[in-house]
Amino acid sequence: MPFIDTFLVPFALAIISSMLIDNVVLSRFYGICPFLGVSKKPQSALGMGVAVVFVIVLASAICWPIYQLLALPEVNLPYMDTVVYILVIASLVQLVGIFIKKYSPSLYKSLGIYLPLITTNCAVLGVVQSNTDQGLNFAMSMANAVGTSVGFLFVIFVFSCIRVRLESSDTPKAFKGVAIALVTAAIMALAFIGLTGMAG
Amino acid sequence: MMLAVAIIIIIALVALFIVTFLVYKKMPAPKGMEKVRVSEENCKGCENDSCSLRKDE
Repeated sequence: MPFIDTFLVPFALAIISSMLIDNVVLSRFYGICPFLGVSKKPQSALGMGVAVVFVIVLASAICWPIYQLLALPEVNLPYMDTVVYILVIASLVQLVGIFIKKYSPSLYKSLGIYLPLITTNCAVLGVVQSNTDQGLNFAMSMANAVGTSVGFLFVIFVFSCIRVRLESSDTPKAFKGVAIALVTAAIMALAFIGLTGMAG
Repeated sequence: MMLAVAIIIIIALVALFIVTFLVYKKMPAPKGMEKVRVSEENCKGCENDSCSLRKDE
């Protein structure tokens, strides 16, 4: 089946690879601020994670064709990619916020407060930038975006669940709060190194 | 020529951001959700006191 071999398998591998092996938080160290800041309760972590998935996928879908335009020989402005991405992501977050505020109050209640925080989440810019730096086509860019953002959601949710358990555990006074959270994140990063090589 | 195009693109994107930011700020929140904010208890990561999401009304 050529379709499976040439499209589905690489697509699935790209998603698994960017989700687990090359995790955006634990391997590439992007998006640490929301990872530590909004992970005290699983409900907040889930809200932030879903909002990040939404924005990363949308930003990748919009920025990929923009880069193709900038890289055209007639335009020849590929060096402007980063500044264009920053402005596009910032505007996109505001546009999504406007849309949600106007048409979906329930979504606004669960995601609305996290949307402005995502403007400054470097994971979004990092994914969009890596899509173009690696010269991925549109389908693989979307696979990278979906995998990376779901990886962020997965890690922030697991981390929040661990932090809830840590709250009730007997932690030494000097380690309470962010200190033990950082130690936990380091152990999680070490655990994720164990997945290296899984997807070939 | 290309420098002019680059400047125009940046100005257009900055203008787009300013317009969307102002529209988002001025648009009223849905009924009953006017004071939905990130609580200080749930957001202690960056300790940024000037963050508009953490400010009290």
